[in-house]
Amino acid sequence: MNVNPTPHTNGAILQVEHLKKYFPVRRGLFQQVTGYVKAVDDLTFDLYEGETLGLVGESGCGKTTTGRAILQLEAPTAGSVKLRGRELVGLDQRALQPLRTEMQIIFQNPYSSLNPRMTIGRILTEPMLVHGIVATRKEAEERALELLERVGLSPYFVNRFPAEFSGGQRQRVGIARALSLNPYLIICDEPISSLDVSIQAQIVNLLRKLQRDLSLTYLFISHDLSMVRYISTRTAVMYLGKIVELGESTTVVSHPLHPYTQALWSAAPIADPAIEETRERIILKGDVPSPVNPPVGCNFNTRCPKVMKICHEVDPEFRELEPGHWAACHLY
Amino acid sequence: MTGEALRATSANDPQQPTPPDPPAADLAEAASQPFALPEGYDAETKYASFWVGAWRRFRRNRLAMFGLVFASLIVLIAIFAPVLTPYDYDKIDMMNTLQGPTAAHPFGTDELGRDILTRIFYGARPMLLVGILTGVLGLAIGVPIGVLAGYLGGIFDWLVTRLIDMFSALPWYLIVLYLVMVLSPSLENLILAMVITGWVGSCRLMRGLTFSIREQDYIEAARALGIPRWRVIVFHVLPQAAPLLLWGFASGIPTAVFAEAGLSFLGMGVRPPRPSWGRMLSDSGYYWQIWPHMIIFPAAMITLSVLAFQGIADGLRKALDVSENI
Amino acid sequence: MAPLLQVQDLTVRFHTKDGVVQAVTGVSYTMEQGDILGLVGESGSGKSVSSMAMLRLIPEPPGRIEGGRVLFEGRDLLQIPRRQMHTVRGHEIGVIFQDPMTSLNPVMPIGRQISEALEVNLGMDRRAAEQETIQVLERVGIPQAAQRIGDYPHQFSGGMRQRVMIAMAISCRPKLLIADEPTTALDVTIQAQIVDLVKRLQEELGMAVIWITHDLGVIARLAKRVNVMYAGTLVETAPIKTLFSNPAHPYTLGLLGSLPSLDTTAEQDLAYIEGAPPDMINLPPGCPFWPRCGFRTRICTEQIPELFDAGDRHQSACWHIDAVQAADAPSVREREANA
Repeated sequence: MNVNPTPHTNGAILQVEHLKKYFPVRRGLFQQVTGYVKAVDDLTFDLYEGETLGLVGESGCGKTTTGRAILQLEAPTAGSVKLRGRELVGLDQRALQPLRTEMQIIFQNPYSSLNPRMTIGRILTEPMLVHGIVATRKEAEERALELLERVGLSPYFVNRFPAEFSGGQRQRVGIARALSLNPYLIICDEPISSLDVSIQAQIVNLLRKLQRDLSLTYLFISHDLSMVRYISTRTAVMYLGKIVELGESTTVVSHPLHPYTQALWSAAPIADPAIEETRERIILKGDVPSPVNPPVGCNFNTRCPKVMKICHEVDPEFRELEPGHWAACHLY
Repeated sequence: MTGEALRATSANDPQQPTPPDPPAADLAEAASQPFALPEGYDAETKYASFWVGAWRRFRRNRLAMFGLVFASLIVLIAIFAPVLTPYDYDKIDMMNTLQGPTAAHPFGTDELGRDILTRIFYGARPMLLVGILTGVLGLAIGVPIGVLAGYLGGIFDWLVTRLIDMFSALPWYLIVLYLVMVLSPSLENLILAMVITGWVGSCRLMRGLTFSIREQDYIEAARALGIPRWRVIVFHVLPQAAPLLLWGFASGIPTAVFAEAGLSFLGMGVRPPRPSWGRMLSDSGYYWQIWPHMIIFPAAMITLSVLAFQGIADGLRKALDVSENI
Repeated sequence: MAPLLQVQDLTVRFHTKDGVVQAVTGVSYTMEQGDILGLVGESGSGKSVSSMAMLRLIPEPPGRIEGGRVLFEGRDLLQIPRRQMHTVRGHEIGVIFQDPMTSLNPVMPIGRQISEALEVNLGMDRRAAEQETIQVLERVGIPQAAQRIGDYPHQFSGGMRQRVMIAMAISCRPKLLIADEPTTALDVTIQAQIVDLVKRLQEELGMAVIWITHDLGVIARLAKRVNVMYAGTLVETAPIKTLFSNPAHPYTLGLLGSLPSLDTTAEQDLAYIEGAPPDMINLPPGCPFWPRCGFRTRICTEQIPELFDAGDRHQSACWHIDAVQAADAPSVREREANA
């Protein structure tokens, strides 16, 4: 997995350390800050070149905020994000500008992520011209046609508007746009969740092909467990702003260590009635606590089937329990 | 899977209609013929761009089309007034005062023998000038301020909001009246006064719209792509506002028209002898009971013009699908 | 025994300014007492519209039920007077919708919303209704039900709200429960809770269930029989195991193949269905699926296939059932063979 490890980066193109993003909660006449939504609460992980790291969790776990915080679209409250060794947190817009050609994002909703009044051609050429990747407009247009072909769209689409296309096609345009600056890291923020089931496979195949052809690294954020398992080399499971388990995808699925992961996999519907009939289910009781008031101790202690006394007192440490397999749980 | 065995099982359930077997031999043969795209089948759905679709909807609206035709007529009349009228608007003819409509004077003459038709035609000018200039200048000031306030937020937005509050709290008509009185009545001052009170409308509109546009994913995408803020505002935010601004412009015109008529009526508009419908209306005060033609024509023109522009504005609103409440 | 529900040739159209949307065309199926039917399809397939049409909950205009009969215990629901539909909806057929926040009255305490239905439909007096309400809330797993009957919907979490909706729907002991994508907006772990709840309630109360969803996994857990819908028509109907192991329609085949299973390795690309769901105003001639179908021949563009026999209680609307069944439904088939 480690390609050409260098002394400071270990082959990791992205190093996230103790990343925190808290949103203040304001109440009252004078908008006093009464608390914080701890959307991302002390995240630490590395992303290695060429891999796909899946980030899984349910709503409110902070996975989407994590993606945005890495890209500096949301300024992190604390912590460090290093892209190929360079610190991103704290940089101003001007300093971040050139870094946009290195990391990009694909959005979830293809219907709202494309400017409805811009032609596909302009959507694709604008970033190239702004960053000066191309010298002339003509060159930009040629590159736009290349990009369209790469994502499987006809070149005739350049002069059309997003409204003329289906969700799947629009998502392809979104992917082409993310590629227009030649990044090597792409944050995929639930790229298939808004698409019809019959289209999802097309887009996933496309993403995999692009990864092979262009040596891309993906952070694949999703709540669709079977898709994440399929597409990612490693998987991180998030709950209430923290990563509770991280490891190779096959391991995390077949031998989950953390009780939440176990419950998650067991809850995920599997399209096979024979399996569904016989498999053992762990049904969690209760609901996800509010991120404004996470429980004292382990975040999961309100619902964990294996909860112990210590879980209500001490926050478990995120440790490497097996080679390459990390979890935060007092059971171990 | 043969038909016999299956018919037997289905027959056990008398309520269930027996499903037909898969197609018989001749159908199966037809089924095996290679695939060919059916004649006349067009996979492409014809897409009409937003503006084309809007125009079609506008065209179907009768009031809007009347408005468009009438307004165009007014504009043409205003532009070509000198060519269309045989008389000068200030030509006094004391021999032919207060005449009803005749062949020589289709709209009659006023108390100084001036041809009313001519005066009506020339009277379109100040009305249009006020309506259009107020709109354009109001937009030119209000839109940039509004979009900056909406996009940048912070203190700038706070300031602009207070400004908007201030201007909105005051009754604009009175302000206009006051300003015109102070500055001396003239068309230019009237326009100035209306722009001073009117820019807040488009500013508020634009600010509200910018707030909602700002939250859209494609704006965030532009930021993620490193598009500089000014470009985002000019090329991503503003174009979304085009329909709303068009409607805002159109709906400001009837207000301005009415205002000009009213102020001219009060003597605050154009200076005589330059004609204005409002002025003509007030001048007819002594005479209309006996010579009704003096009031009918200016009143009709004002009414029809306001109706026409209002119809256009309403037609635009429906065609462009902009809601009245942001 | 007479079937509980017989849908015959149901057709629904929406007349919009852009054209006529052929939302549902000629849908027919039957349900017995206590059946659990999964209604599967993507957006635009007509799965929700057909069920709402049965209950006459389609806004008319622009919608219009243009044909067919819906025989519920022998009575045609499309013909009975509107007043009687109220009773049917409250008492005999229960409904759960996707978004409990918009389906529950935000300004009425939930206890009241439930007991109101009981008073109106079952003629209970207030006290009896309240007791029954507490019982049914406990049944669906709302903790401290007696204390919470005075709470408002916004005081509950998403999963809890859905339970309240379920409580409301079953409170009058309906014979049929229609669940329209009730878990689509919920997290996976909450979804599991709700699915299990409905399964348990179905066993306890013996009611028939129609579960509408696009998620084949949920169907696999819950349903005994599946109807697959595409572009407003019923394209396949089969018992649950048969559908997954031996699909007879290219759409079902493609759908099953495109879902990554536990066995799909990282090296394999997912099988996928080409193209995109059709424009419901301009459907192609013949079978609506041919633009995306790998089995198509000329007849598919000329004649719309009926539901043909494809096995035991298994039907498919396709001219090439044999070819489809002979093709590989990857991994699912293998697992069946190895099991």
